[in-house]
Amino acid sequence: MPGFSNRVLIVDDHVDNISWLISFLEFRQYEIEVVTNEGAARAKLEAVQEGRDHFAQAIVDIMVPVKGIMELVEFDEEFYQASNESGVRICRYARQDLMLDEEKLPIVCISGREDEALREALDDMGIRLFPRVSMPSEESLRDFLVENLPRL
Amino acid sequence: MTEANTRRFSLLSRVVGRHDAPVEKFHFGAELAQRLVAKEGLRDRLQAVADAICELPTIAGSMVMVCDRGGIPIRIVESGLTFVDEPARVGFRDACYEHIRAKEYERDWDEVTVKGLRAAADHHLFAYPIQCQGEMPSGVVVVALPGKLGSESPAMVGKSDLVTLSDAHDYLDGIFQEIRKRHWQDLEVSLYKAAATFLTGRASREEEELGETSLNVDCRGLVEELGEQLQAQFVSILFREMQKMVVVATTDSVLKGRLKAPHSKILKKMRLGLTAFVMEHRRSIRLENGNDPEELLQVTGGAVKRPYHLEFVAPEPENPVRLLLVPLILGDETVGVLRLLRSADQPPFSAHEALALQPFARLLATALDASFEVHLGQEIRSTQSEAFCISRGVIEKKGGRRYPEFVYVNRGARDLFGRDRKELIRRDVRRFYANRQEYEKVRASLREILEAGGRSSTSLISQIKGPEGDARSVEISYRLLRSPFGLPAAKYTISVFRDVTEKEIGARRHQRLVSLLDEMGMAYFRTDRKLRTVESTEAESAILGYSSEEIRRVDRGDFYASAARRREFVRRVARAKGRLVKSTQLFRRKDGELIWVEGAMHLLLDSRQRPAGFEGIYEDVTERVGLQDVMGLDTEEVLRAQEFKEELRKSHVRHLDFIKSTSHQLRSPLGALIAHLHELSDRVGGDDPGLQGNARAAIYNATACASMVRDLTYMDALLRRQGFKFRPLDLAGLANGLRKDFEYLLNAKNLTLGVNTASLENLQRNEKIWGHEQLIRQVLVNLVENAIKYSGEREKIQILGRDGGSLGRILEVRNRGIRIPREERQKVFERGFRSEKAQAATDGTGTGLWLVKRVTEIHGGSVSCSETFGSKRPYTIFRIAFPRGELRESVDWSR
Repeated sequence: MPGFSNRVLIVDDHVDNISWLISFLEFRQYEIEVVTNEGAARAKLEAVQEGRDHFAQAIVDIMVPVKGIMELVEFDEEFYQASNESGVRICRYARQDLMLDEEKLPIVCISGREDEALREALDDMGIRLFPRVSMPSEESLRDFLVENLPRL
Repeated sequence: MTEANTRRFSLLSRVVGRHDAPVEKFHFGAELAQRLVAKEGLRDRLQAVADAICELPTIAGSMVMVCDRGGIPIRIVESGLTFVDEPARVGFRDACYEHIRAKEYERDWDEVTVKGLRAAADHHLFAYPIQCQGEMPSGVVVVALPGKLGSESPAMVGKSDLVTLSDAHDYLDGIFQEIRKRHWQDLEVSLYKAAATFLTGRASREEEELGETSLNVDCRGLVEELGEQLQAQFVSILFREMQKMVVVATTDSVLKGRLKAPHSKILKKMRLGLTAFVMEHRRSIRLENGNDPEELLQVTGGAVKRPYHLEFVAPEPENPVRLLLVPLILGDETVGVLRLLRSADQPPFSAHEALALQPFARLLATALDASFEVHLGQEIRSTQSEAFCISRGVIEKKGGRRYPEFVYVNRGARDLFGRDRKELIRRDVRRFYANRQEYEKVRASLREILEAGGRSSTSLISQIKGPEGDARSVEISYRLLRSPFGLPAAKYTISVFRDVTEKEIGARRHQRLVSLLDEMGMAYFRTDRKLRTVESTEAESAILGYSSEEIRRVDRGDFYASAARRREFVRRVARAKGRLVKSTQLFRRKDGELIWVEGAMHLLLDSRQRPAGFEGIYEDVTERVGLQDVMGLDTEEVLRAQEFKEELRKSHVRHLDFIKSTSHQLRSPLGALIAHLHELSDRVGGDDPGLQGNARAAIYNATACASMVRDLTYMDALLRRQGFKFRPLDLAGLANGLRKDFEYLLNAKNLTLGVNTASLENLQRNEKIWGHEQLIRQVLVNLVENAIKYSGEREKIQILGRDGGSLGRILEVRNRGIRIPREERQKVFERGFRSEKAQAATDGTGTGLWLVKRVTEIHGGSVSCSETFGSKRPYTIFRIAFPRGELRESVDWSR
C-alpha cells in the first residue's frame, strides 16, 4: 500500500483528554505524532501532501489554538474566536486545498461540542465526528480505530 | 228671550269657551275651578269675552257677570245695577253659583230676586254656558236686567228708548250679533269641528296617511270648508317642517300636484315672497289687489316687491286678486301660514275676517304640530339605525277584543324584526315581543302612562323576536299621540326601538372578563367621580379582606398602607394623566397586613369627556416581592413584573451556564476515564478475572456518571431551546446498540435486554421516523437505565415497536419490578420528581424521565407510563408515540 504507515496524527491541545488514546495506540504499536495548534497541523498536512510524511489516521479536535503558545505574545480575542472552528479549517485545508482524500489521509474529528453547523460542515467533507457529548464517544472512537486502523 | 237670541248667546259662548285643555272627568267645584282658571289659556278667553261685553254700549241698569266653570266671577260690569255692599256681591255670586251647580244654566233664569241690589228687587237673569257642543262648559255669562223696565224706570238713564224687556232683548241681540260677527263664530265652530274631526281620527283615511305613501297631514276637507265659508277661490296651508315649507293642504289644483314633492324648488322660492314676510313678522296681511305694487309696498314697507306667482293664482291677471295671509303661531314660533285668495268679484277680506281667523290659525298650528310627530316619520322613514313604528291604539281595548297593531314601520324596524312591511302592518304588536311576559311588562308601563295622562315613556328594556326568531334585547321609547280635543285619549303610539343586543353582549362580555380575572386572582374595580367604589369583584374582596359591601362603603384611600403612599400615588396618577400601567403599590388589608399589589388603572370619561371615575385591575404580588428578597434583589425597590422576569431569566441563565460548564468540564475527563478503564479491562483480559471485574465495575460507575452528565448537557440544550436537526432514525440500530452500553449493568442483575428488531423496523417500513439521533438515543438510554434500576433480578427488559393506530407509531420499553403507583405515573415525567419508592431503591436526579418527555414532545410525540393488566407482577410500560405524517427537519419549539 503506497504510503502505508503506522503513524497516527493527533491534533489536540488537551493532552489529558487524549491520554487514553495515546495509551491505547501506543499499546497497539502505533507511532503517535501530536500537534497542538492549527499552524503545526497545517505543516503536517503539507508534509503528507508533499509525500514527506505518512499517517494511517488523523484524529483532529475541533477546537485547537490557531498558533502555538510560544507564538502567542499577548491575549488576542480574535485568536480565541478563530480557535472555535480551527479543526474544521484543518480538515478543509486537507481535503480541499491539499486535495488529500480519504485514501491519502483518513480523518476523524473529536469535539467537545455537537451542533448542526459543525456536523454539516464535516458531513460535506465525509469526515466522521465523535462528539464527547453523546457519550460513549470515546468508546465509539476506540471501536472505530480498532476496526479501521491497519493491523500491525 | 227669543229663541234666536238664545241661540246666538249659545254660539257666542261656544266660540269663546273652547279650550284645548285635555277633557277630564270633573265636577264643578271651587278647587277645580281654580285650577282651570289658572290655566292661562282659559282665563285669557274668558277675559276676552268679558272685554268684548264691556266694550258694548252700556245697558243702563243692567249688570253682566262672566263666571268661570266653577261659578267664580271673572269679570263683573255693573251699570246701573249696583250692589249695596260686598256681602251683597258675594250673595249674588253665590246665587249664580247655586244655579250653575244645579246645572240651571241650561235654561234662562227669569224673575230671579237678587238680594242686595240697590235697585229694583226683581231682576231678570240670563245665563249662558260658555261651551262647545257636547263639551263641558268652561264658564257662564250672566246678564242681569232690572225686573221692571220702562221709560219711567230711573235705571234707564240715557237709554230712554229702551223701555220694555223685549226692547232690551233686541238690543242685546244686536250687540251679540256684533260679537258674533267679530268672532266669526259660525265659521270657527265648523272649522274647529273639522279640525277636531281630523285630530280625533274620525277621518277614515287617516290610517292610510300613516302608511307608506304619505305622511302628510290631510287638511283638504278643512281647507275646502274654509274656502266655502270665506268665498275664497284658493286656500292653502303651508307648514314649516324641519326648516322647510311644505304644502299641507290646498284647494289649488296646481299646488295639489306638488303635494307629493313637498320640497320642490318652487316651494323653496316661495320663502322669498309674502309668505316669508308673514312668517317673519307674525302678522296677517290683507291685500285688496295682490297685483298692485303700491299696495304691496304700503303693506310690507317695501320688504316684498311682488308676491311670488304661486302664492296666488290669478285666473285673469289684469283683475284684482284679494289676498289674506294669516300666520300659524304656536307659542313663540310661527309654524306656518294660512293663505286665502278671493277673486275680484268678491269683496276684499275684512279686518274682522282676518281677526276671526286668528284663533283658527292657532288651532291649526296646534293641530299641525301634533301631526308633526306623525310627520317626523317621513324624516326617519329611511333611517336604518333606529326602528320606528306607529301602532294604532296603546293597549288593548276594553274586553281585550282589539289589540294595538302596527300601521307604520320604517326600514330600520323592518330590519330589526327581519320582516317586510306586509308581515308587520296591521299585525297585532303582541306577537313581535319575545314572549308574553315581555309584552305584559311593556303593557303595564303604557297603561301607567295612559292613566297618568302622560305622553312619553322613559325608555324600557325589553325583548323582541329577531329575524331568526331569536330574542333580541331592545330599548324602547314610547310617545303617545294624544288628542287635545277629547276621547279617545290616545289613538296612536309611536315607538322607537333601539337594538341593544350589542350593548348586552358588551355587558355579558364584561362579566365574563371580570369572572376570568377573578379566576386568575386579579381584582377589578370601578369608581365613580368621587372615587367611591361602584363595582368590585370577589378577587378584590379576597385580596383586601373586605366584603364587597364594605369595599363599597370604605373610602378607597383606606386601602393604601399610609396617607403618604396615597398622596404619592395620586401624584403618580396625575403625572401619568390618569393612565397607569403596571404600577405597584403597598396596600393594607382589613386585618392590617401589608400587601404589595400591581396593576393598571385608567381614568374613565363620560360622554362629555369629563372625568367620571377610575377603573382598574390589580393582583397581589406580595409573594413575588418576597421572592425578590430570596433572589437577593433589592426589595426596597419593587420590581415590575417585566423587570422581575428579566431578573429571573438572568438567574435561570446563570444556573444553566453553571450546568453547562460543569457538565462540559466533566465530560472530557469522564470520557477519558471510561476509555482508560476499557483499555485496562482489555489488557487484563481473562488473566485476572478479579481485576477485570473491578475494571468492569469502574466502567459501570463511570458510565453512570457520564450518562448523568449527558442528561445535564441535553437538559441545558433543551432549556435553551437549542436548534436540533432531524434525520431519519434507525430505531432498531439505536436499540441494539444499547446492549453493549449496558452490558455490565445487565449482567450485574442477570437481566436480558430483548430488542424486537423486526417490530422496530416495521414501524418505519412505510414512513421513516425523523428525529435527532443522539437525543432519541438518550431517550432510550434513560428508559433502559430506568428499567434496569427498577427491575428485579433475572428479568427481561423489552424494547419493541407497535402500531398505535390513531396514536401513531409506538416504541415501548417494558420491564417488571418496582411498580409505579397509578397516581404517580404522570408525575414521574416532571423535572426533579422522584417517587418515594424510587428514592428508597436507587439514586438519581429526577432528570432522566423529564428529558424523555421533553425530547418526545419536541419530536411531536408523547410519552406515557402504564402497566399490563391481569397479572400479579405486571410489566411497567413506557410508551413513546411518534406521530404519523409529521415530517419535520428540525425541532418545533412551539410544542
